[in-house]
Amino acid sequence: MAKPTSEALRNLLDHDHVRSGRVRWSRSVGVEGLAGQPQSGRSLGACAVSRAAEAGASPQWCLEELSGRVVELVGEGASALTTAATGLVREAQRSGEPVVWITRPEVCFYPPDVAACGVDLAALPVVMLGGLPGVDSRSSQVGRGGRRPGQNGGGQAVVRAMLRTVDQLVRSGAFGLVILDVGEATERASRGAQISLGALARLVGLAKQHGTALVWLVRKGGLVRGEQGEDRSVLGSFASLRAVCTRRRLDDGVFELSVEVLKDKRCGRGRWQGSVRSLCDGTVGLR
Amino acid sequence: MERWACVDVPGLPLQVLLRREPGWVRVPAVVIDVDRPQGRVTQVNAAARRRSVRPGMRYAAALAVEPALRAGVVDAVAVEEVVAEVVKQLRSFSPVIEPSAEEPGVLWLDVTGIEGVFDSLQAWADGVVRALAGIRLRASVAVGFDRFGTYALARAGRGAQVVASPEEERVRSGGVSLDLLQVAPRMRAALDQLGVTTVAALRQLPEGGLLDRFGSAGQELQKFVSGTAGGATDSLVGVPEREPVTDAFELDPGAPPLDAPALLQVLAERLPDLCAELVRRGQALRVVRVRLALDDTAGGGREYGVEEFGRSTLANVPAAKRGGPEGEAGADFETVVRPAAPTLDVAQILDLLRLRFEGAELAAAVVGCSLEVEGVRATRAQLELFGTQPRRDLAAANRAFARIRAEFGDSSVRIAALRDAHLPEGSFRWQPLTQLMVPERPAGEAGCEVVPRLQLVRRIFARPGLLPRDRREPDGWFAAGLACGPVQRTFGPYVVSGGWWRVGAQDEHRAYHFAETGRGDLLWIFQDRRRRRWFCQGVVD
Repeated sequence: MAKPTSEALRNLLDHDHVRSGRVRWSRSVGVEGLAGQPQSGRSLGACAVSRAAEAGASPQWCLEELSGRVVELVGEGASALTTAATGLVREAQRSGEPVVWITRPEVCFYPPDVAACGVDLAALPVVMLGGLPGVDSRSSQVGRGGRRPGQNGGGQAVVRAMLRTVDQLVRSGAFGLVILDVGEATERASRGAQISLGALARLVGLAKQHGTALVWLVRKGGLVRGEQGEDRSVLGSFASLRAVCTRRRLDDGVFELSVEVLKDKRCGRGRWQGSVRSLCDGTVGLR
Repeated sequence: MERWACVDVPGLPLQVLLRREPGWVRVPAVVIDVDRPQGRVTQVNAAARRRSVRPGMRYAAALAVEPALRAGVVDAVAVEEVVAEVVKQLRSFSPVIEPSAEEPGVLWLDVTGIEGVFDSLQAWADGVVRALAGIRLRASVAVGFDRFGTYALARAGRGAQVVASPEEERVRSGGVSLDLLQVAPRMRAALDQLGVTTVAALRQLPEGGLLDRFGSAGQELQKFVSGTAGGATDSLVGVPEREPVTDAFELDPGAPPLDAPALLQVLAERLPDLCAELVRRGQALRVVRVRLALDDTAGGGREYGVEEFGRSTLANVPAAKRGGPEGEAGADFETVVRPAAPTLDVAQILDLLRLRFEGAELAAAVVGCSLEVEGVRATRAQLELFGTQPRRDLAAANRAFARIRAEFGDSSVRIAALRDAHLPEGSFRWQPLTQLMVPERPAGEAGCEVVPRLQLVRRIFARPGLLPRDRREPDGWFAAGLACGPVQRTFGPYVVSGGWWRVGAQDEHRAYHFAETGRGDLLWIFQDRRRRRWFCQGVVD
């Protein structure tokens, strides 16, 4: 019997055995997808490497796809924004791309969990925008005797500081990935249309010029009401790609991460063919 | 039921050395870590072992014992190349292959349902052994039902073996000696003193016994042996199959065929792009394969597309257009050029190709060409040495950080450092960042990389938030406010206690839980025994 090719094996097992549940594939967010079809037709000048948008294949949720773009990653409730961002950070570090994470000191990612995902903490600089005038340091937390998050002002100062910081970092051209995680301040500011459109436009241009992926983590759904009551995203038309990230518990200690693209300026939402799913383990205590 | 298989290439560095030096198979030969008299012997072949040469000896001492000893260094890059070669061979046997991150030469494969493709699991396993023997590697294969069982049987056995049931796998793997497993020497000696010499004896130790005595390394070993290392749903994390870096072109019909100088000029235009792709993958060029499609007709049309390059040109051209008798094979020219060391120097590669083409006699003029390059992992220093500048300017990053520190304070740019502490807020600390570091590309960019699965990441509050006291509301406990909904269920408790050993200090006793709300939020909460209140440490996000 002739030795079957890897592609034939995959097709056969995919068809018969995945349906019967005898085969389960596992992939991680940020890992390159399976090999695409060999390039056919004339190829004069371009390398035959996997560029999904050019080759016509479905795009992958990976750093290469997000490079040079402003990405709005949205989540609420059963979200997995920090986990998805950690996956991108890990991929960037494995590719040798410098990364920076911008956040507030009141709430930040838990470093032991990030390290457990394979991220090198010594090579992950964190810019903490705290102690700014007019900003309540406890405004981002849950609890506190019934005080609700977002009730205190000062969001405008935070947003301005955040935009200046991001501008500095992206303009340097030294980073392949910038994660912007400033929590509910973003939503508060956007209610009053306090995000400067000029600043956003500059960021879009700088990200494209330097090939930097600027990923904006937006919580609380990211949808705010406009003057007419319509839903609009925080970044509006400046976001090159907008996606919702959710998690779902599958089994004892195993979760499914799902990234559903709502908008993609580059190749259209339909090219993503539904959600990008991957498995991840629960944190310690949830396994 | 899931079926696993484990392939073990024993003594991989030694096998790599003997492949490189086939004449050393029957003479005493060893692998050393550095090519100096003080270098240590890491692996020995049977002939050297019979001469009393042992791993751990100094090279000079080994030479004194056996003057005819042959020795060689096998670096990590060479091992990775061979592992990549093994993975490539195994792609025909399973689409999901997971090389071991700890032991090069050990790979796991998913063979669930493979009986539909091969005659039987035994035939499949025999095929794997034959395929690896074809590339001059001796391997053993075990087909079973879980990760550790197949690993133990592959390490202990020879050739191909298949177990029929999980019970049989457990029994047979229980008899495997711990000497065959990767157990730290200190732990191995201590277990030997306790009379624990086999896997079955190790399984009988109480849970957590090795943790108390040997720390996390012992616990990991015990979990691995008992099959709980990956959790209840341990699954393979396969190596993604990378697309090869290729390019191809053909001449337009009617254009004059290429001669050698013109061909080299075309290759000179293509090679920088291919090398740039290798750089992007963190690799240097190891092999270049060039296939030239030759003009096989005398004045006839050439009606074949680019996809036909790589096959015989005559096979796809109608007989009427062929210059020779029907049935004659095509006249493609294929060559492989391998520089002395992995390189990204285009000029050097072109020079080698020029020498190869000058010495070759082509049956006809060249009308098309396909190029394929293979890479091997290169360090950042190698990439810089070859004149390929890193894409990012770290100095510009540090200047940007300096401006941010000037505006927002010296502590505004930080990195996290882990600490050994009981309480979550004490398990890390922030320290100022002085210079930005970029990690070296991890091992395995040659295509054999195992990417561990992500785990959910928590967000931690700088100060735990006080939660509403009353948990007995009729509508439930709205721990995070009305928007999140009431708490539906909790996971825990996980008790963290500390500080009680300090005289005069107040101890901390917290019972941690994960609380899932109606909206789906997963709150990380704890009950403080001393204060008798609930707090929110963070959220799982």
